[in-house]
Amino acid sequence: MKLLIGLVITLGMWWLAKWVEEKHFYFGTQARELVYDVIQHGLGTVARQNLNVIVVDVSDVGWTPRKDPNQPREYDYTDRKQLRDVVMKIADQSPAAIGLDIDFTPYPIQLEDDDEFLACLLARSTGYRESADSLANGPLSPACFSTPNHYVPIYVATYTSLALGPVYALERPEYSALAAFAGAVIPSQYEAPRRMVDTIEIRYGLPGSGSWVVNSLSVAMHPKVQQNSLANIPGVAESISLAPHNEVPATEFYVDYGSIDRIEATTVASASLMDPKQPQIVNSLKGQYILVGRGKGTTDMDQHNIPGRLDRRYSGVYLHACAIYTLDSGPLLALLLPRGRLVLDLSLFLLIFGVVELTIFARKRFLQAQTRAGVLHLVVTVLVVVAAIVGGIYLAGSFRIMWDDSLFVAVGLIGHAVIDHVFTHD
Amino acid sequence: MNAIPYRKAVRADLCKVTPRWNIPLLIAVAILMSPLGSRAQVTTFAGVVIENTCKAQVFEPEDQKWHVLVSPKGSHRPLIAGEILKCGSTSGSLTLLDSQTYTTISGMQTHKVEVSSVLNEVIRYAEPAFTRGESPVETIFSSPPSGGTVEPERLVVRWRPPAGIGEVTLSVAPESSDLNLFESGRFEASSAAFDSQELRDALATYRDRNGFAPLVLRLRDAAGHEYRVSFSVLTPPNQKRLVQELAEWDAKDGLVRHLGRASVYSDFGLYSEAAAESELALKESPKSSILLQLAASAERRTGNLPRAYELESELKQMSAKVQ
Repeated sequence: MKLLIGLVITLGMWWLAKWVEEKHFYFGTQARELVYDVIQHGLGTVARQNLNVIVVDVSDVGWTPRKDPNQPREYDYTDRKQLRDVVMKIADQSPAAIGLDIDFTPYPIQLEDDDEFLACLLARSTGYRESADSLANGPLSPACFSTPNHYVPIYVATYTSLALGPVYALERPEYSALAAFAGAVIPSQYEAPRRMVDTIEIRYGLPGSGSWVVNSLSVAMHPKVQQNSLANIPGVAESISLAPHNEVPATEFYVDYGSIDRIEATTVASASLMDPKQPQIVNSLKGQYILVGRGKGTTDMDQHNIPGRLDRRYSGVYLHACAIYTLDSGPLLALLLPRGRLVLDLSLFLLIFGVVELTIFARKRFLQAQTRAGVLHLVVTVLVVVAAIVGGIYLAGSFRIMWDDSLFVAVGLIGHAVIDHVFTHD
Repeated sequence: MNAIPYRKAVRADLCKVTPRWNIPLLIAVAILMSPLGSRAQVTTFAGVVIENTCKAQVFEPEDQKWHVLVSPKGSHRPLIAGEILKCGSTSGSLTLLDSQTYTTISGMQTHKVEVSSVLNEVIRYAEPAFTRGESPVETIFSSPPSGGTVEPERLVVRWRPPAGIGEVTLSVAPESSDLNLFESGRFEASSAAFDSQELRDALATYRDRNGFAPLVLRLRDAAGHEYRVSFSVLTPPNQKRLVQELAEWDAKDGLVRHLGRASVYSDFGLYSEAAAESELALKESPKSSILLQLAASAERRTGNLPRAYELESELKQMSAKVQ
């Protein structure tokens, strides 16, 4: 009978979790978010020692104030010459890839500076040389040219300009090779931003004409995306999901934010790259994924909430860094779907039931116990639920599986134990 | 002020007092707070000029004026949503691409740059997660700094008097309210500073009553001109954290101490204090280009542009000498 009640409760809670997920109820969604947050915290404790991702903070690079005589807007932007020097210094150390989390959407007053800068990046990244005649400021700096066959993949952030297609997104069609999408997915109501973009398809032309598939900054830099094998079983788990936007079909993946504080703590100031007194920094970028961006936000721009950390917000560059860390950590995180969750929910119930019954049997068989069976049931259930949460974190860390309805089932099973405690008289 | 930044300010405030480990409190905060779209304001790049053979002009919504459209041959001048284009001469034409369509205008025709449905969807789907140059809000005030934070007990209002300004009144109110926390009598704006214990007391009372909404300080002259600046008051929990974090740097030597303190002040939005510390750091090593850069950027952040320009020009001179 107890087994039957327990099974009914487990199935009921599984169904409730599924229903809440479909209906997007506020409290239910918050409960799932809480479990998701706990798992994200847990991932921080199992993060690997070498993160392979380094953020170079360019808050210390000068800002160029420009006043366009033909425009009312005054507009500051990172000094492109200083930025070029920083990027070339990084490239000299042969990192795995460099991503500039700085928007290069063309802006009328900085066309010439950006043209020269992007030509330099393209040369360093692919060896392609723009003709000196076509650049307003003449030939590129020698720093832009590496030795042959020693090119470093470099990508720059783009956003709204992608809508114009590869020909116009970055001033010249050839620069489209550098373009990566740097937007962060706006989550559904009541949800924290769990996912980042994998690829986004831009249908820039007339209806029915061609489209342009652009990688996100993290995927461009780390193109080896390892699918989670569980996600290959239909209905069990998903690691890459389709965004529900018809005009811009996009795919997304779940991000492991567990290491964000460590990534932030190891941020390198761009000035220290130029400092010969800091050789440990100068020689530390080889083989690493380097993100260049503004680590410190002074305004509301580019500041984001992440799951599990309601106490503060982070600059966008750290979101991309976590996305790269996720891609570099093996198979993608997979969120269990209802069918997959049912298997784990039932397993959790049977585990608790088995342990409780075994304990009761042991008490009757071997002990002259004073404790009532109901109390014992409650205590054991709570212990096993705690163990299940720890196990959930272990699952996420080791098998990259996110089981975010375990709280529902745990509540149901504790309810089962309470009922047992109230009605058991032995 | 619209609702989203206000709610973000509230959330940020609540978040700062929430210990990381306190999961039950996190739930309570999560339940109280609906998710907030932190959509930053970015320039909506909506099109490009393909060819201009008619001395075209562009109407900028920001200053409500027509300007010459500078688009040299071969360069695709970007167009921003809301700009209006027309040909400045009867001969020739202007071809542009926006809203996924090529359009050619000539003669007296005008064309308003529109956002395409794809672009709209991109903006609706994802928010900017990147750095983009942003101009400091134009303000005459250097204290309180625009968008920064102040400690009420130490506030002295400072500004650069605009030409021709006479007597003014000064008032402070929460952004979402018309009710003034403080209002001064008339005084000469040429004094360039306002040092009032009454104002400090009003802000301290506001803080002590858990006022966390950003404030607006207004300076009005007799002719009806109004100069304003938005700022926040440092909350007690943040004040406590500030003291702790500053103490960590106080044990260090001169230069490191000032740099550390500047960084802490900056983290708490106390940009005036950060600028003062950066200046002290610069005094320790006046020939350091990095310190000059840091001080210039700190001064720029407070809105003290003359000092920022002075430091930047010093930096340029130094670079020229080195080259």
